[in-house]
Amino acid sequence: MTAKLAPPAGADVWLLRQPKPDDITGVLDMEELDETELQRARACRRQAGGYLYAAAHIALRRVLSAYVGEPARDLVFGRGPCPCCDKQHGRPVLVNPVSDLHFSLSHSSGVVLIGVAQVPIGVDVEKVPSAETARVCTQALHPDERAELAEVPECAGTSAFGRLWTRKEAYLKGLGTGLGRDLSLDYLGWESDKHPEGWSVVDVPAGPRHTAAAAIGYDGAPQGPVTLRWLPMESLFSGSRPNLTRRDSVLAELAA
Amino acid sequence: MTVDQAVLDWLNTDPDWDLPETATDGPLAADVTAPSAATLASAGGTERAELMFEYVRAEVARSVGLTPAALDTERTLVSVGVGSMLGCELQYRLRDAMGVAPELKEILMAKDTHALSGMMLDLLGYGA
Repeated sequence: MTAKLAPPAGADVWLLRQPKPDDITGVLDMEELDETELQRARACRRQAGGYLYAAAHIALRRVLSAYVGEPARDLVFGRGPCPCCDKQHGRPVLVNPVSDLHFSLSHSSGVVLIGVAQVPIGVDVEKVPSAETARVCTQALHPDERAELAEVPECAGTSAFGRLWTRKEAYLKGLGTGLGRDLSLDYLGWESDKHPEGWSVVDVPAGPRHTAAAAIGYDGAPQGPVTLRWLPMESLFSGSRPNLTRRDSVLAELAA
Repeated sequence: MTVDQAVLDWLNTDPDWDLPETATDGPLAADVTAPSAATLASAGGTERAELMFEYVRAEVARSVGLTPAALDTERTLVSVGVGSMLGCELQYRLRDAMGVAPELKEILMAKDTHALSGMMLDLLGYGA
C-alpha cells in the first residue's frame, strides 16, 4: 500500500473523466469489484454505461482505499439509516473497515465525481439536459428556484437548471434521503444564505458538458476548503499502482 | 502547479465525441398516446394491463430516446438509462397524461417497465 491520504479538513472531491474509447490505454481492474457491482455493470443497456459504472466503482474503491489504508477489493459497503424511516437505505457507508469517513459517488455520461469528508457529504454530476427535460423538471423545484430560473436568459437555461439540479441532488444525497425527499421542499438557488442551515453547497467545475455540485454538512463553520482533485483514468487499470497523494492531482480549491 | 495532460486534452477536445446515454432516434413526443380513462374503465383486466403497458413502454422509451420496440422492458429503468432527471421528467409526463404517477424514488427503483405499468394501474385503482 502506498502513502495514505489524510482525511480532509474540508472535503476532497475527485473528478474522473473517461477518455474517448480509442484513447483508453489499459484494462479496468474488474477484480476490485464485488459480485453485486459486477452484476450491475453487466446489467447496463449500453456498453458505455456499464463501462462507466465499473470505472466509477473501481474509482470509489481505490480512492477510499487511499484514505483508510485497506486494499480496495477488501472494502465492504453498506447503507446507513434513512432519516425518513430509519430503515437501512440511507447514505452508503463503509462497513469494513469501520470508518468515520463519509463519501458520495455520482457518474454521468463519461464523468465520475467522488466526494470524501469527515462530515456528511453528497455529490452529484449530470450531463447538461435537453431544454425539454429542463422545462419539464423545473416544475419539481422549490418555488424560489423556479422564479430564479425564469430570469435566466434562454441560452443559459439548461446549464442553469443543471447547476440547480446537481446542488439539490448533492444536498439530498448528503442528507441521506436521496430523491425520496420532495424536490420542492429545499431551496438551493443562487442566494447561498437561504440554503439549508448547516450545509455548504458548492458548484464543482466538471467540464463543458456537465454540471456538478457538492454539499457538505458541516457541524458549524467549514473546517477547510473543498479541494477538487483529478483522478487519472490510468489509476483504475490492472497493474497500476495509483499514487493519489500527488500534489499535482489538485485542480482547484473551492470556497466552502 | 502542473496539470495532468488529460485535463488539458479534455478541455481542448471536440466535445462531439461524447458518448450519449440516450440515442436521438426516438419517436417525437406527439407519437406517445395515453389511453383515456374511459377506455381503461371499459376494458377487461388483461386488455387494460396491455393498454397501460403499451403506453408506459412508449413513455419510458421516449425518455431514453428509443423506439418502444427497442426498449428492453425486462431491465430496471436505471439500467436502461433513466437517471434522476429523466426519471423526474417521466414522472411529470405520466402524471400529465394519466393524472397519477409514482413517487420519483419508486420510478427509479422499479424492477422493470412491467412493474412501472403495474404501479400506474394500482394508483388508478385497478390493482389486483
